[in-house]
Amino acid sequence: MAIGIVVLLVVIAVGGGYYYYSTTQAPTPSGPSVIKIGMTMPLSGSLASDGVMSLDGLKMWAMNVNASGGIYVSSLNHKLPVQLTYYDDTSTASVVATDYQQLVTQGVNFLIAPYSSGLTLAAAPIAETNHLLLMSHGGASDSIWSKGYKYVVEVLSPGSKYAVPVLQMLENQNSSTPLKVAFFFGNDAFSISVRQGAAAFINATSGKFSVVYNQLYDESATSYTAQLSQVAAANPDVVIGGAHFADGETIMKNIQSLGLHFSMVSLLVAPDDPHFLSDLGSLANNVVAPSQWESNLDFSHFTPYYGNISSAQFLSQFKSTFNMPPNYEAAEAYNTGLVLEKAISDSGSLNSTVVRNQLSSENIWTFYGNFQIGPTGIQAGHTMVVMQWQNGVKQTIWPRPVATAPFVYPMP
Amino acid sequence: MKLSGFTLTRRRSAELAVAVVLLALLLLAPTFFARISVLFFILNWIVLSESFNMFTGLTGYVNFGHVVFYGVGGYVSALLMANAHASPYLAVIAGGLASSVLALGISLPTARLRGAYFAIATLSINEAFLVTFDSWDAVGSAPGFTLPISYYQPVVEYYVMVVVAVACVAAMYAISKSRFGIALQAIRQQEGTASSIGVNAAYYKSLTLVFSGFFAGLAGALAIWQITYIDPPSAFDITITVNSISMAMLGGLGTAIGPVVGGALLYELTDLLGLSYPFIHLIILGVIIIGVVLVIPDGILGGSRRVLAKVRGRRRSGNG
Repeated sequence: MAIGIVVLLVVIAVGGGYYYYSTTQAPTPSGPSVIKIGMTMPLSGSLASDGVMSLDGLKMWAMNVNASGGIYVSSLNHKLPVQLTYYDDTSTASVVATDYQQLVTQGVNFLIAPYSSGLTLAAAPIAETNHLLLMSHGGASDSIWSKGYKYVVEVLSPGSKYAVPVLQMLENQNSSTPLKVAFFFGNDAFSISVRQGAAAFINATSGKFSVVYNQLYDESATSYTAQLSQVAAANPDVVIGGAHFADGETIMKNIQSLGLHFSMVSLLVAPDDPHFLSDLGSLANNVVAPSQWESNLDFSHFTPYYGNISSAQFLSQFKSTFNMPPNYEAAEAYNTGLVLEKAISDSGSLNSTVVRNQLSSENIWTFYGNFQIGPTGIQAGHTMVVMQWQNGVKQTIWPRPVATAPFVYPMP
Repeated sequence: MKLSGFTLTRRRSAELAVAVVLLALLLLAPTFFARISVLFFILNWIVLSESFNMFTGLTGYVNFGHVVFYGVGGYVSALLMANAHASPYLAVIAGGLASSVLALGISLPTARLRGAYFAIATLSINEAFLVTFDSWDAVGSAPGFTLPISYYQPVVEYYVMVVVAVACVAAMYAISKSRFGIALQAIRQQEGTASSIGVNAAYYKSLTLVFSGFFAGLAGALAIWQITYIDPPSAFDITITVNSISMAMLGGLGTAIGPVVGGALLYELTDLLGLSYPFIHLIILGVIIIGVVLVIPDGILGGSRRVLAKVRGRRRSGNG
């Protein structure tokens, strides 16, 4: 009898699941009425704040597209609205694997990758084996594009490009002696790829830099005073490193508590966030960070420009829609929608293979910057900018053509 | 009916029939169910919770380091596939064997610990492995690594998963019905007394942990074969241990069928809620789990037995 109850429960569960999954599968109408775009996002778990910001960016893009009647698909000779289907992957790779299979069974036309390199790598085999385009907006690790995936396309600059503009800017200071650099990066896939890119740039510039310290740190640590003392003992001119938000703030607090001074401190991710200023106050001043996008950037004079939206318009619309300012994750997600829209429009097709091939020949400018991919699908056109907090204001300081203020160097 | 020492009672016949039907459904599933990875991970969680149950359910000792078997199994098989281009079948078996060797290594210093001391000792193991793998270049360190796309064969992986899940449940059933299992129950109920009558508690606990480690290692190896990507935070994620405990307890700790029910129901419930309510699914799930634990603290199997006992009692008093 107990076995009977158990069997009944299992049958109910399996039957209920089968009913749910079979009824949520796409019907096959005579022609598509919407463009189905599927994705998972980390809406809970360790990457939740990034995932929610990315999803909001995509929602706003879909809202704007549909407000204009949708995307014109020439093979169907009419405009189609976009329909976003999204699930919470809970920042977990195994959930990504099952949910992307669900999206495939629902008959989506295109896939957007989850936020982060690890989760993008978990989604890639499913996209690849089902010949569905996977647009990566938040997976920056270069390793994603060394696996031979044909359907994975990157919209943001890869990790190896992050520190390059910071080094270019320092190179431009015309120092008479080699600049002593300390690399102090977090121990994670993204930060390591940034360090590799920085090291490659330094190796290519003979005699301009000398690396006097090069160690990784544990991001989960609550203090970095011991390692920062070692950094100081190496007597570097500048410190280039960081990983994510919390560790970046801790590094700055530790630098202050130890009474250390460097000509420049450049960190990843943390200074880009407005909370960096509200949390640290004057300590945030003059800290530098590479950035994918800043709201004061204006690319509208570049051609061909696509999207009918400027950085300023994106900023104000996002603020009014979601009651908070966007960070660059929201911008790169919105831009992913724009790029996909352009490729669908130019190819006139909803076939992923056709649209993927179209993306190879796109070379456009949007509010986010340039989009142009290399043979593997890695982003080749977009360049990072450098921002610096100056008297409580976030300024873009590099490259010069888009700078809103000069680089404050050395730090006072 | 009697078959060479195995009495085929009506109840056993029913159990056997149910098992055959379920197995047939599992084997036919890829022909009528497109989202095969859901079934794969249901079975994966069944193996994880069953292997946890194999040790904790039978000995009464809680192993908080269960996920290290999953992680090490995953890493060993993934390294063999990515670096040595090994057969995935051999790589999966190697993952299981590596985890069983690890289990033996862990059991040597911990098997003589009693009560809460064993749990405390296993608590720190996961963190030690996470930190080690995070900074170990030979295994890919923090960035982790991926398997070549040619290894990605969801249907093949699913069928291997079915075999491993059946073997795991069968092993648990066989152990619990054997003299070995009776010795473990004696250890669980009164270790001191069991030792005084000649039961070598340390030996039995070590051997059970080796079995538990082997199956958890297979689960890890198979999960990584399916996901094709491994890094330390996902391989040594403490929530894998927590979920294994939850599933085993929800179904019924110490029984072979308990983790099957708990694993299948909890995973599918999590999956369905996640698909239906992306922003609030974890809150709903938490409320449901708390409710279930309050109403049936001895798990679904134990709860159903209690209900049945009450019904039978009423029938007898009604007939009397």
